[in-house]
Amino acid sequence: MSRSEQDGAPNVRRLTRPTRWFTPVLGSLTTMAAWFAVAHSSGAGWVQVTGALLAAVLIVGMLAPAVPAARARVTVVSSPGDAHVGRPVHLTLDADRPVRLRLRLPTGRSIPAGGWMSGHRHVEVSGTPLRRGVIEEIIVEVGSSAPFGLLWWCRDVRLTLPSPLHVAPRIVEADTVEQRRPGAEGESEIRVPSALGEPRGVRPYQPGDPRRSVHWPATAHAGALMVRESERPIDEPHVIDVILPDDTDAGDAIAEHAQANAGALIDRGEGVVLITHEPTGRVMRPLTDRTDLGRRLARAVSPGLDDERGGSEPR
Amino acid sequence: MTLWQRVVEANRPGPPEDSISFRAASTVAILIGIGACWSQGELGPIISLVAIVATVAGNVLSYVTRRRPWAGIKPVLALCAIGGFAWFLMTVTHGSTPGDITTVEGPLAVLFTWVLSTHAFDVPARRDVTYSLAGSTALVAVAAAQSVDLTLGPWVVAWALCGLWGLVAMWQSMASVKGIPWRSLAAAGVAVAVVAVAVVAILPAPRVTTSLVFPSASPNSGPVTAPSGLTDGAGALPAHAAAPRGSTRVGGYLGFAKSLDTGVRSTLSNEVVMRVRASRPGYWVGQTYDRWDGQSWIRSTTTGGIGHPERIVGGSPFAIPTFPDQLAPGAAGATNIQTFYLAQSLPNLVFHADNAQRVYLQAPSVLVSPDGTIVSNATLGAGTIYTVVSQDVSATPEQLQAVDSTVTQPDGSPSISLPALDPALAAHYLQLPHAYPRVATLAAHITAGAGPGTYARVKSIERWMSTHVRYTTDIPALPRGADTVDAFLFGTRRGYCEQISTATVVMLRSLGIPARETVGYIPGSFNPITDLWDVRAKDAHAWVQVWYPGYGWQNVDPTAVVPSANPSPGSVLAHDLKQALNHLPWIPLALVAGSATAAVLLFRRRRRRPPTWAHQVAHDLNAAGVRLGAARRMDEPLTNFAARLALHAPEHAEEITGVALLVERATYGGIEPSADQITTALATAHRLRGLGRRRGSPVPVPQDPDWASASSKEAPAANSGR
Repeated sequence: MSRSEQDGAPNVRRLTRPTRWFTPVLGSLTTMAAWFAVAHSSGAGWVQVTGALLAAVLIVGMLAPAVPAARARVTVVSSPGDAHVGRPVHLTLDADRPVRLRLRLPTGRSIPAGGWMSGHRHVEVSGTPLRRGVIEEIIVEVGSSAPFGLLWWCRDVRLTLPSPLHVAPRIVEADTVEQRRPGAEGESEIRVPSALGEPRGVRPYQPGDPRRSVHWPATAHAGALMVRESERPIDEPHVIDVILPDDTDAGDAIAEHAQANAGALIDRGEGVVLITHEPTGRVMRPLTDRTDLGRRLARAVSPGLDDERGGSEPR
Repeated sequence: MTLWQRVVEANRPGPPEDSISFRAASTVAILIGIGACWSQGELGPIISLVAIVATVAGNVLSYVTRRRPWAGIKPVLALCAIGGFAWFLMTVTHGSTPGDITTVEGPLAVLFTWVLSTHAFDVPARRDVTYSLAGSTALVAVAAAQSVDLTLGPWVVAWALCGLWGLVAMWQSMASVKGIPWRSLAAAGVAVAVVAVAVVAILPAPRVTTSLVFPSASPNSGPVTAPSGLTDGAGALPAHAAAPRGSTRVGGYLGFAKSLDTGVRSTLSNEVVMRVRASRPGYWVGQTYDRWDGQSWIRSTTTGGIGHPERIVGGSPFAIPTFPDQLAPGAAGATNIQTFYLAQSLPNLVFHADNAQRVYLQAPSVLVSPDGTIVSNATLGAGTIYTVVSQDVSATPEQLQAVDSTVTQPDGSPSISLPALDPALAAHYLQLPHAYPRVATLAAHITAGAGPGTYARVKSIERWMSTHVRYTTDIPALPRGADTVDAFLFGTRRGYCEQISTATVVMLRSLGIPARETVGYIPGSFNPITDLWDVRAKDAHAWVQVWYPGYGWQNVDPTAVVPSANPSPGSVLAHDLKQALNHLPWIPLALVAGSATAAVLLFRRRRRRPPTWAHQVAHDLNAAGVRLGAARRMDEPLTNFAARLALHAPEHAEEITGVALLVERATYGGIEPSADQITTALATAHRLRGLGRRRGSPVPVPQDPDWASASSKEAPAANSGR
């Protein structure tokens, strides 16, 4: 799970515990108290016997679900590889008994894993990621009220996904991206890094050129800073450098923005080079499609975090 | 969110309940509750019928309109509920006895029935159906409060089963489950039984609070034509001893009359004559006899005898006076509340534990004799209920021994430190028809070493009875004119309570100890279901009362220590076995046995469970082979077996060979499948296991000749998964 997901991760409650217990417990206690009052006022043995039976059913009915809730085995059968913040994602789980399943990370609603009493059953659950990131394991609340349905007992289980789930930023409207003008190369404010394309020669240094592209022998020869110049491909790609701040919300907003603009360029068939910082270091790579875009942005972290992890070399 | 919004939110109807099973269980539970109230006489037949029809119709209507309930139904139902409560309050205010809950329970049953029947028209959601199911408990509670016998049992069992059905159906609806969870239900059933027994065993049985008016009712009573005398239970006939021949009627013990002829023999039935709820079990005293004529006991209510009865009027409760000879300042005096429910018509004697203080009885008046005998001047028919509050004056053996040392000096001269019995009364209770020289000699001989104390001499006679007398009801009738005591003590020495107690009284009187004959009932058998003592006709009994200074009349039952005559070895063994079983701690034993059984079953189940997923798959395939008539041979490799099995189930051939291959790869190839593959394989094998159930008779298939040459080392060893 990426750092951005960890920020919003719920507490994992592994211990089997009753949920929404107040009303059932209060109702049961009230019933038993009323019954005891009737038994006390009448002194009738039948009231005591049936009251004991009723109390036993209520007690067992409220405690028994702890057993199936604790013993249920749940696995992930299938899960998608990609998702977007705010969009539901559907996973298929397998349960070995009738239980109620609810995704807690990503957040979802309760789904009964019903069917016949015995045997495994598959159930599709859905959850909505609230944060961008990479999810490698999900948290599922497993609940049961068997066999009387009086009280639900639940516990949380962590389930490893068959493949990581990349949660791309929320889908937002793209900014208006200026159409590239033919022959305007060299005037673009976003300069293509010299590492791209075939080497052609050297040229004088211009503000904005990366320090790494300085060609020192030519500089010594010319007496002025010279930089390597590469042959640009015909469809010169757009370069988007995504620098995320430490603040998660602001970072997500920037990622959403980048996704929208890069996605719009991809949709227009133009090449895009995306520069991001991932936990393993700085990554600069052309985007192949929107899925690639989403995954890159899902993995993107703040450079500060990147430095903290010691990764600085681009891939 | 404001409070009102919270209330609205909490009362927002849930999604419609589609489970017909749940609705049916809830409806039937209410119908059973109505039937239970009807069986206990709390609902009339017409009201019951109307309520049943309304409940069924309402639930059907609710089901049909569950997705679009009529918007105006709730105000109408609210008005119905308000009207029902208003009727209930008016009825209770005008028609019931303050503090007497029994007079409230009838209207309460009607109110509950009314509320549940009207509520049936608005049960669209699961929560509403649950309320209906829970509401049926109120009806059963009201019925149970009135029940004094086991006739409610079938209703309670049916209601419990229906409730269980409803709860399971509710869970099925909540969890979208098909089928019945038999294993869970069995486990839960055992747990419910254990917890219920524990609750009954651990929690103290609630008792009627003394702040209430105790129950009393006389539905089948009539005036007594001879108010000063006894009547039998059949009507208003003057009391007389039953004829020697012919039926004695249920409860018609011969002693509940003006005289008791000990020469008459009769057989008492096993029918329940009354049920008693009491703080403590005890002897239920009917009346006493003071004068003995050699064959019969007679109540001499004239002057010089027991004395004239005192009429107590004013209605229930009647305050019973305490006469001087009944005073027991030395006794502890714990209160004993007894409610008698007459199952048969009985004499108009008001049975009670010793030293009655108050009587709650629906009668114009009662007659109280100086010996403590209480007689109603209304007949006591079946269904009569009355309550007696007694002050227990039973003394302990230590107290009575102390009386001996206090009253009697070492030299045998009497002390005056404790009040003595009135001389005239003492002379009356020492009356004998003749000298009884042999009896007096025998009594003196028996008590020779006991000293001058009353208690010591009484115990001596009791001990002698236990060793020299045998109990039997099979004795011949006494010839007319013969003396019962002489015939008994110097004859066969066989008899029953009348002979034994009479002989004891005569011996005590011959020793100068005031004593009298008492008749009534022993407590009977306790019914833990009804919390009542079931008193049967055969529980009629005669015993002795001995007067002690400072403690009044104390019960002495010599029959209790007398062994049976000529007991057979089987009966002795059965008696000993019964005694031993009675002393066993059944509840802890049952709990331990149940826990041990559950542990053994769990252990066996765990042992039977295949250790790995591969074993489980192989096990399921083997089971499928057995069902299809293609059982796996001892040394047949799994893949060969799977190939042969596939011939029997060609439509599943791919699945069978697939899972077998997966197991073989994991076992021998070390290729561990993914969790999904394991899950799928397990599910597939489980499904294949049931093939034979659907396929019917096995299909003959040619044998695979290659199986014998295949490797025999196949044994799933993969240890992942389960």
